[in-house]
Amino acid sequence: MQLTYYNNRSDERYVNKNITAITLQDHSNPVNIELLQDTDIVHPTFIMADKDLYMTANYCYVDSLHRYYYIRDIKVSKGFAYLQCECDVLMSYKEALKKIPAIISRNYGLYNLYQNDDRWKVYSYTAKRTIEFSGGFDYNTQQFILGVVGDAQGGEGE
Amino acid sequence: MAARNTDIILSNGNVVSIATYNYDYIAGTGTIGYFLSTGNISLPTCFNISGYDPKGDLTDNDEHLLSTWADITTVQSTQYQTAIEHLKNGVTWIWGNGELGGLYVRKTSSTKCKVGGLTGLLKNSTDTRQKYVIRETPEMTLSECTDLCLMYTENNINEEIAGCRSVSLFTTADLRNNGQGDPDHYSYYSYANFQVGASLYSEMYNLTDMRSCTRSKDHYEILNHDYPSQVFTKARWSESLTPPHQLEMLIFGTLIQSGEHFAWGDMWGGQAGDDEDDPNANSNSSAGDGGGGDYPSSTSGVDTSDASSMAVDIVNSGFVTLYNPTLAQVKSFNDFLFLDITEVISLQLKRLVANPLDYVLFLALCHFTPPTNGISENIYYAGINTNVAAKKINKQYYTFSCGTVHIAWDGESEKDWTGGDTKTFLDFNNNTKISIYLPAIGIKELNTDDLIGCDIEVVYNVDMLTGVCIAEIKCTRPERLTKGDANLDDVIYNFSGNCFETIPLTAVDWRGFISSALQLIGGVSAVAAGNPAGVGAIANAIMSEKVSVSKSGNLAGSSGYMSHQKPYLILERPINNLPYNFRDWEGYTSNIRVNELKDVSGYTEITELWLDGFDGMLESEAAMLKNLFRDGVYLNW
Repeated sequence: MQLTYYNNRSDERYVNKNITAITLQDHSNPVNIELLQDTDIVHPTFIMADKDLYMTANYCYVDSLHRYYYIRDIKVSKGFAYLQCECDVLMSYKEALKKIPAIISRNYGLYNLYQNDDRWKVYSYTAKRTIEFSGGFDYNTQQFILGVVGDAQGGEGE
Repeated sequence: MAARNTDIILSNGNVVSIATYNYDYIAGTGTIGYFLSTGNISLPTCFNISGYDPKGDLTDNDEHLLSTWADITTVQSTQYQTAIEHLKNGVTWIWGNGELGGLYVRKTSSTKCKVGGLTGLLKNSTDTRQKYVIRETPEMTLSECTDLCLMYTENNINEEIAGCRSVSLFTTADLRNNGQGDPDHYSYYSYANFQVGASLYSEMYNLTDMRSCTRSKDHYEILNHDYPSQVFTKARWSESLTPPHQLEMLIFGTLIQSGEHFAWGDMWGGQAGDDEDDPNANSNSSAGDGGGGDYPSSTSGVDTSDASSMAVDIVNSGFVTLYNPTLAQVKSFNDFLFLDITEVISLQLKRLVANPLDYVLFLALCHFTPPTNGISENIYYAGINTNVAAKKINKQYYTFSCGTVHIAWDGESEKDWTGGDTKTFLDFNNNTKISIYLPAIGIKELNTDDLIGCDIEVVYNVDMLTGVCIAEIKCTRPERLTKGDANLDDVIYNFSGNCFETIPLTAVDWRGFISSALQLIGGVSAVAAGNPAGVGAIANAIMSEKVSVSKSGNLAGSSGYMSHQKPYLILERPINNLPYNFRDWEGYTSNIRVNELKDVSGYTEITELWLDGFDGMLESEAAMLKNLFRDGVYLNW
C-alpha cells in the first residue's frame, strides 16, 4: 500500500483541492504504508517508518484505497510514524459527483431572490421616504358651495 | 477640401462638417496624410480621412492617421464610404481619448485598421448602427479601448487585442485572439469559431470578463480574477432575432436569451429576481408545477370610475340648486336672508316659513374649483330672486386624477434606496411597508405585494351635494413579476371620506358640528412591540417587531380641510446589510433542481443529494457527503 504526500492549500469545502505533490529530498514520494489494525477506511491510521514521515504534509492519497485523505494528526513512536487521517469524500468522489442530480438550496450563480432568505441581515433602522402625487386638491383654492332648495325655474314668483 | 502630398491639417478647435461627398478627401492624397484635432471631430456622410491615391502612389508603410483627444462622431453613408476606405496597403490608425460613435471601415483587400484609445459610444445616439464600429477588414488591432462595440465582421480576421476593457464584438466570422496582452472584460459573440491562443472553438459564446478560456466538451471554462471558475453550457445563435440580441445561452442549464432586458451582469449572477422562465426548466422534471387549476391568466382591467360622466344627477333635477359663490356673494346672500326684514317677514307670512334657513341646504368650503357653467346667475331662494349672483354648479359629480407615481423596486432607479440588489424578497410584505395618505380620508395601509414595481394612480370622485369623496387607487403593472402572475391594470383599492368643510348655519347645526368634529379627532396610539430583535436582525424579524403606529385618524370634514391636500405614498424599507462577497461565501437561496452537478459551480448548498452510481462508496462516506453539501461546499470542477 502506497501513500502519496500532498500539500493542500484549499479550504476543505472545495471539491477540487489545490494540491501539490511533495518532493522529498532524501525520500521517495509515494511511500510504503500499512493500515493500523482496528481502524476503518474512512478514518484510518496509517503506519510507516518514521524516516518516511514528512511532517509538513497535510494531505495524502492512498492508491489501493482510491481515496484522498486529510492528515489530521501525526504521531511518532519507536521508529514508526502514525498518520491519523480522514477521508476527503469530495475529492475522492469528484468525478462521480459531477453526474448526479440534486436540488440546490443555495448557490452562487443559480438563485431566485424572490425567495425569502433568513441569512440576510438588515439594520435596525429602516429607510423611509414619501412619494407625492402631482395632483390632488389645492390648499390655495378655497371655494364656497351653496346648496338651496329648488331652482330658478321652480317655486312661486313674487 | 483636398490636399496633396504631405499636407497636414491641424486644428485646436472643433472640426465640423469637413467631409464632402463620395471621393472627396480631407487630407493627404499624397503618400502621407494626417488629420489631427484636439477638439471634437464630427464627420458626416462620406468622409474619407486621407490617403487615397488614384494613381497608386501609396507605399506599404503609409499610415493614415485620424487622431483626437476628444470625440469622434461619424455617420454611415449608405454606401459605406466613410472614414476608412480605399486604402491601399496601408495601416490606418484611429486613435483618440474620447468617445467613438459609429465608425465604419470598409473591407479592402490588404489593409489593416488599428483602433485605439477610444472610450465608449455615443450616449445619445438613437441609430443603432451608429453605436458600433463595423468593419470588414481582415485585420484589426484594438488597443486600450473601452466600451467599444464592433459589429459584423466578415471573413477570417486576426485580432490583436491588448489592454482593452468592456469590448463587445459581434461577429459572424472566425475570431482569433492572438493572445497579445491580457484581454480584460471582453464579450465575444460569434456563431463561427473562436480562438484564444492556440485553442480553437466552434460555436461562439459570450465570454464576459474573460481572462483565459479553455474548452471542455460542450462548454467553456473561464477563469476570472474576480470570480470563481464559471462554466457555461452550450449557447446558440438565433437567426430569428435581430442583433445584437441573437445570443441564446444556456447557463448552468438554464436558458438565458439576450434581449432588451438581458443584463450581462446576469451572466455571473444567475436570474436575479427574474423568474420569467420556469426555475425548474433545467430539471426535465414536470413536478413542481402545482396541482393544476384554472387560475385566470390575465386580469380584467378594472378602470377607475368617472362619476362626472353621469348624465342624470340631482342638481339638474330642479329640487336642488348648487352655487359656487365668492366670499362677497356669500355675504350678500347672508344679508338677503337676515337684514332685509321686510321681505323676509313677507316671506314668512306668505309661506309660513319658520326659519329663513329652511330653504338653504348647506354652505361648505372646499379645496377645488367646482364644475360650473361659468356664468353668474342670480340665486333663487324659495322661488324668490335674491339678486345675488353666483356661478351655478352644473354637475353633481366631480372627477379628477391626482396623477400617477411609480413605486420602484429597491435598486430600480439610479439612486438606489439602500444600495442592495434589485427585486428581492425585501421588496415585499413583511419587509417593505407601503401606506398612502389621501386628502379628506387619511392614511391607509396598503398591501406592498400589490404595488411594488407598479404605477399607481389615484382618482377622486366627489359628490358636490354631500362632499362625500371616493378615492380609487389603480395599479398598473405591465411586467410579469413571476410565473403565474398576470399583468395588473386594475383599481384595487378605494377609500371614502368627505372633502367639504360644511359650515353650520343654525344653533342646532353648531352643536352637531362641534360634536362631530370632536368625534373625528384621531389619536396616535402605539402597539407595544414584542421582544426586540437582536443585533444584525434578519429581515423579517426586524420589520415584524417594529412598533405599529396609527398614523392618522379620520380626516373627514374640517380635519381634512385643514390637512395636506395632495396624496402621497409613505414607503418604509429595511436596509440590507450584506458583507462584501456574501454571495461568494454564502450564496443566495435557490430551490432549483439540476440534472448534473457539473452544471453548478461556486458556493453550493444542497437539500437533497441522490448518490447513484458511486462505485465503492461506503455508507459513512455517503453520510459525510450529504452533510458536507448541506453545510455548503465550493464546486470548482
